[in-house]
Amino acid sequence: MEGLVLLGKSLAGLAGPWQILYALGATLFGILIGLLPGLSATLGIALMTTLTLKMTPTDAILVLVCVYVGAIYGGSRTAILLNIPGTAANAAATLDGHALAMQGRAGRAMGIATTGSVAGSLFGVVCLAAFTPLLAEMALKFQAFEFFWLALLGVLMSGSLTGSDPLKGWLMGFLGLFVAQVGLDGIHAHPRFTFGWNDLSGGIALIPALVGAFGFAEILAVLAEPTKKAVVSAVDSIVPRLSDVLRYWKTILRSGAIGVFVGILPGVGEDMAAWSSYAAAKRFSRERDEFGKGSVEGLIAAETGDNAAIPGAIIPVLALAVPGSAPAAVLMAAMIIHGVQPGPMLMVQHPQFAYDVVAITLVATLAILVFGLVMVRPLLAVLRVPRAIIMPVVFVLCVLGAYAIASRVFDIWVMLAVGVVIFVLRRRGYPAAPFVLGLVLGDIVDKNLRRGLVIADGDLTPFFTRPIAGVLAAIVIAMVLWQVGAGRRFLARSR
Amino acid sequence: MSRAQRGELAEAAFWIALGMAALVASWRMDRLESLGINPLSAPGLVPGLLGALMMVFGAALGLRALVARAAASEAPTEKRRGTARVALALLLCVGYAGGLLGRGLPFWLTSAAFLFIAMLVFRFLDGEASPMWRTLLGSAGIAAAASAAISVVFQEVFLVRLP
Repeated sequence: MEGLVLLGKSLAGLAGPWQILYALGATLFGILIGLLPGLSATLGIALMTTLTLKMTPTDAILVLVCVYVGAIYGGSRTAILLNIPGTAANAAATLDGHALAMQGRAGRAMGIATTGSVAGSLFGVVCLAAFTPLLAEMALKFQAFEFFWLALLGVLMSGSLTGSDPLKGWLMGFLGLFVAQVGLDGIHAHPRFTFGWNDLSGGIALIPALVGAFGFAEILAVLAEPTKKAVVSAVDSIVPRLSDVLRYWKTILRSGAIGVFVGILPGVGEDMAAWSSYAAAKRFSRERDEFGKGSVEGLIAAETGDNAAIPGAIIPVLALAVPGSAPAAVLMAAMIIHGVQPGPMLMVQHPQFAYDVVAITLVATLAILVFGLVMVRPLLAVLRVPRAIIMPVVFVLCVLGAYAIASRVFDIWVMLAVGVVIFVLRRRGYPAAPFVLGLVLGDIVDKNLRRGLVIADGDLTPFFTRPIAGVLAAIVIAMVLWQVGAGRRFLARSR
Repeated sequence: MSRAQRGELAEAAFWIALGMAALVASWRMDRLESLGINPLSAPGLVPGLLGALMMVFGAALGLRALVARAAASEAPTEKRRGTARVALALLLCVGYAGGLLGRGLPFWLTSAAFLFIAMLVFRFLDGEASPMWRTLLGSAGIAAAASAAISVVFQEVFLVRLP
């Protein structure tokens, strides 16, 4: 009951004219970011973090969540019309979305994507409201031992699931964790790897590093190859149909549940949620032969899954301070920049803020429904602008996005260096998401391992014998052993 | 040995070298014994462990590349394409952001120049069908408008002191 009162207050607080304007503007910006292949939700949130510095925390998070939801939704347009996912989360939508477009039903496909996105987001919002307080209450029992394993699990899980090679994913996670150690250490304020350079004492700032990893690296990747793909025109109706919801309600519920679950898993993200939902829908469908050839059910499943993963990824941010995806990691950094410390104490100290985020996600969902109904065709004009024009402009925005947080030219260099390194490593098959997770969780791993060792007086057993720590440790060890086993089988086959 | 295998071996050597450098630097880091801190909270502990992990997993990567058959080791890496375009993009972006910004030239001017050159170069490389004069004028117009808009929005609306 108390939760409903807090949620009501939050919704009332978002009903002001400025808040509505922020929500619509940010969602539109997010959709544009999602529409443009190469620009990700992570980059959109990182850029907007810089521009929301002077806003109140709630208004700033409203803008950022709307960009997040808008970008994941907007990416489906490109998947349908160009057969190129606008963001990684929309890759599964290309299979049936583009097939429908090629049959002359591009508008219908966009309507289905809107249906799936809105249904998935709404399902996720309900889970966000229901599970965040429960998880936060459970996390109040966590000590340094549990937080250490949880953060390590996030990095390893992200490494295992976001790329095609877990070994390379883990190495990227360790690199991110290591880069996070640069600067004054969090316990004794002793400089680490600063080489007497004052700019490095504050550490590698997250936003410039993220803009480099997801902005500059993407710009280089996009400019590396010319685009010659024709845009499919949408001539049929784009209006979402209630009949789709009624006909595929089981698929929507299943995909929503899978999306939220995958979203909660630390560092896994929306793309895995979309693929998992799609695979489950195909397995249980009566029309599985249609999948990949323009199946309405397949497209609904993919879009419901990725959008449900957004609130899912925010749940561990609020309750545990462990992000469920790369965009959620930036969102978490933005909350900290705005003076809100996510984690188990959030529900104790600022319960209203947690419900503000629930209400904000609901508003963002309504905003994508509005744009899904009224702005589809004008927005598609963006896809016709040559990338040779858009990418240089985006690069100037990346430069300012990295610089404006602290007005330091050093941060521009950080953005450039991280961008080049991530671009080169990605070409060699190393995923960027585990690096970002490592960068965000590096401080938690560092402080909690050392605190745990000091509390236990050097005894390692509490890391394994405390109930929750033991379960988390077992998952981490099982994950590593499973991959070692897979590696051995791979080598045995190779001989 | 295939090209992919050689590439993975080079990557393994990189990770092992990076891990070793991190481990050595962490080992040599001040343990703050003079401050009487608990040695288990020494600042070099976690970076040292991470260095060791990078060495171990880098070695595993190298071992896998050595043992796996050439055909099996073709990892799904992104294809090496457009190296010249990447070099050009790098030159323009690093030249603008690292070489020109913050050196006394007005932001709007350097940005407009960067945008004009970058747009022109990549539109030309993409083989746009428009006549040359139209591409030139179009790029100049868009570059000037974008630079002015970005400068005004960041400086006047978001109160950012531009580099």
